[in-house]
Amino acid sequence: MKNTKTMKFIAFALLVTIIAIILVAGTYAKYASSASGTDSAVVAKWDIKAGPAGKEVSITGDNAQVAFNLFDTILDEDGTTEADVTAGKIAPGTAGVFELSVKNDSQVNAEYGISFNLGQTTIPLEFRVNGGEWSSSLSSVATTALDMNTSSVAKVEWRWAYETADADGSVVAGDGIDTELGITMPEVTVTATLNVSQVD
Amino acid sequence: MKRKEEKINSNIDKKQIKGGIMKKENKISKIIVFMLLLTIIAMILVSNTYSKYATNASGSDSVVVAKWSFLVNGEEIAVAGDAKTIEFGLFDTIYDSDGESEETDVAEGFIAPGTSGAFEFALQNTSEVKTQYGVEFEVTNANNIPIQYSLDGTEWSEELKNIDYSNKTVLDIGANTKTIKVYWRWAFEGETDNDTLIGKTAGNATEENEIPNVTVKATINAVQVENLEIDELAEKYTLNYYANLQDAIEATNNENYEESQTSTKYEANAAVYVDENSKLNTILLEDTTLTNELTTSKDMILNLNGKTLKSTDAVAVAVNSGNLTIDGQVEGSRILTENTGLNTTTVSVNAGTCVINGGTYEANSSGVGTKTVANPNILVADTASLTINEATVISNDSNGGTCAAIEVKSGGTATVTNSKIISTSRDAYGVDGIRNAGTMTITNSTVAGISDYKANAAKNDYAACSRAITNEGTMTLKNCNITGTHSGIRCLGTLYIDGGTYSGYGHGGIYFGGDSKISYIKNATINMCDMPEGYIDDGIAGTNRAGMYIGGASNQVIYLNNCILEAPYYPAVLRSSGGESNNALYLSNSTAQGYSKYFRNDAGTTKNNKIYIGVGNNFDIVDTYKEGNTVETEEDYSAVFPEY
Repeated sequence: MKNTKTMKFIAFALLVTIIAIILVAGTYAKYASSASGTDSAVVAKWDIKAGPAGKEVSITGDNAQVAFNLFDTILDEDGTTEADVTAGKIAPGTAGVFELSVKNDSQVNAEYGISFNLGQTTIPLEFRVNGGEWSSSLSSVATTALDMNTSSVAKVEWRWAYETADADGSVVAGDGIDTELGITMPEVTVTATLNVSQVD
Repeated sequence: MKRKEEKINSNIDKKQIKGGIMKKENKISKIIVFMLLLTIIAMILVSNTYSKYATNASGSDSVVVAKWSFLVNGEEIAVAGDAKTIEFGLFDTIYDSDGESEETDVAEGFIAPGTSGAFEFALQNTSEVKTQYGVEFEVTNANNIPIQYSLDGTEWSEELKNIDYSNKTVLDIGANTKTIKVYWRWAFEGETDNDTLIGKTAGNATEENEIPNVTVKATINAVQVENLEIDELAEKYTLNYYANLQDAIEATNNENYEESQTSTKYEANAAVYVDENSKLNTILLEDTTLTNELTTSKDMILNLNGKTLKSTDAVAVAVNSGNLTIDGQVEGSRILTENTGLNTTTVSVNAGTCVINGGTYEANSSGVGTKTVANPNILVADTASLTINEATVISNDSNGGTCAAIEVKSGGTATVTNSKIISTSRDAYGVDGIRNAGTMTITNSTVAGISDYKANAAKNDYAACSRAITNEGTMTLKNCNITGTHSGIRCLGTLYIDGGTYSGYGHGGIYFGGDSKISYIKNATINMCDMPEGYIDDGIAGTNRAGMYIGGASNQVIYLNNCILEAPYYPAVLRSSGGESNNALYLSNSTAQGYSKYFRNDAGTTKNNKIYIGVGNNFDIVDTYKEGNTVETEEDYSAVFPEY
């Protein structure tokens, strides 16, 4: 009998605890002081924009689309205007860069990361992210702080060397690979996925 | 009341069930408590995510590789695997010797003296990239059939020259088809015996493969090109294109240069543009041969751009007024003249100024020039001025002509820095690296005048000889390396030297022979050197075996301070056998070394040739030879040297 009473009491106490937790859940994450009076609070805004610098647009919800125009501007290997290749096409000696700007117009601090997916390709492209080392793969942009009212730019560069050697170091063979690509004219697609989350 | 009764009943019910139902109730409570605890724990664990905003987005971009496609006679050669073989019917159509008429005198399908033909092939870039082509020809002609070839129908050669990659073989994206025509001919009036022999060989052949034949294989290479120099230049400046350099220079010579052009970017031999400093530039785009003198009369820059400008005229480039800067800094830049029986001058500064920065200036002649009238490679006239920096100037006469790499006329001025000036001619009399009658300053440069050293009865003189420098004017030399077979320097004028090595064979490093001239030499080595390898001293002309030589003139004054005199016999010779007198050599802080330290001071009739031996030397008055007038002093002659 006594046990039953005790259990009932415990259950009641726990229920009260749960209700209290639910009611005061917001205060667990911050300092709190008790004071008498009346106040109201508005939920902090969550507004992340992304896109080419100066042309960022709000991205909301999951699986939103963001402009990732990696191949929009095709330059010469030295960064000057490419005048030796048909516009919109890539060939040995071409290169390009895209800067994805992420802007935090929220009222909370956030962080972001970018992962890339380079589809199956035999084109000997090289990539560099945020000035790192050139590589045939595209490394992710590591988690980066994005405080409220700030923006951050992820710079992705690509290039196709005018003269490349094959795996054995043969330039002639490298030219053969390039030539083959010029005949088959494959397409390459690069996908960037941007993840932004609030930080505490 | 009803309520109360109900309550009583209820109490009774509760009491009734207390015994049997209590245990079950207790279990349920425990389960509820457990679940509530789990709920609390779960809420705590996931509380972070409950309070977070999160968004993700993705974007992608695609691009296609540019097409690679090149057609030869309409056939695609951009194919995977082995190189494409195409039909090349150079000998398909055989004409008469005029290249047009039907050949009716030779059996069909055969060639013979008096036959000719041509073949065209069309190249087309159908790629999405800029392309450059080259054509390699391989001729197999075991019986040396005297076939001549031409790519333009005018210049014929027994060699079928390859078409190298150049601006002229660039085919832009979407460019028109380029047609190449190869001509061949077998001259009717050739070497009859040889022709007959070839014909007989054909007649005697018993197997088809024994019949003399000629095979031409053409390999066409197409390659994608990037960053052509001309394209980069065109991006930077507004270029006007000219079919040849003559057109370009004529256009720039106009009082008000008007933009005009006679060619297109990939067909041009030269281009003109105004640079960021408002200077007019003419840039050479291809190796070029000029048949007429190129004359400039305005301020302009001629950029040789690593190319060769060859002239078959007596003068390649003449500056008549204004300032011409020749930019030869790109490796391979060269102006070349080659003539038989004509002067060979690469640059003639007739008036105005000329600045040469880098490059090679080479004049090859054959029997041109005399002892008194040189055949100069670079000429500076009496009112003109020349500056040369880091260039190579070479004169060579293959038939005893007297060439000079640079000649500065009286009144002209020239400055040479960090350059190499060389003049050579076998068995020639009076060859000079530099012949100066004006005012020259030469710094950190090498100058040589090389010829054989031998008696030359045909020219009624005692020796074929050459000097690195013949100076009749005023010359300053700093840290130069000078070599000549007659003497390093033959000084008939005034000389200022600071540093360097001055070497000569016949008359030593320096031959002073200018009446009433004064010269200053400090910090230098003056010596007698060996004959250059491959050149001849016939032993008849004789040498003084002296480091330096003072003779052939009177009243000369030469100061030496901190110098080294080096020779097998005499550090210096003061000659009087020709009547020379009042020549004076002042020496201080200097060293004489070699076979002996004995200076030769010929007494002559007046004994007025004097050697003044000041302080700091490694020789004294007893080291003089013969009875000349030698004076030992306590003077340091560095004090008398002017600034230069």
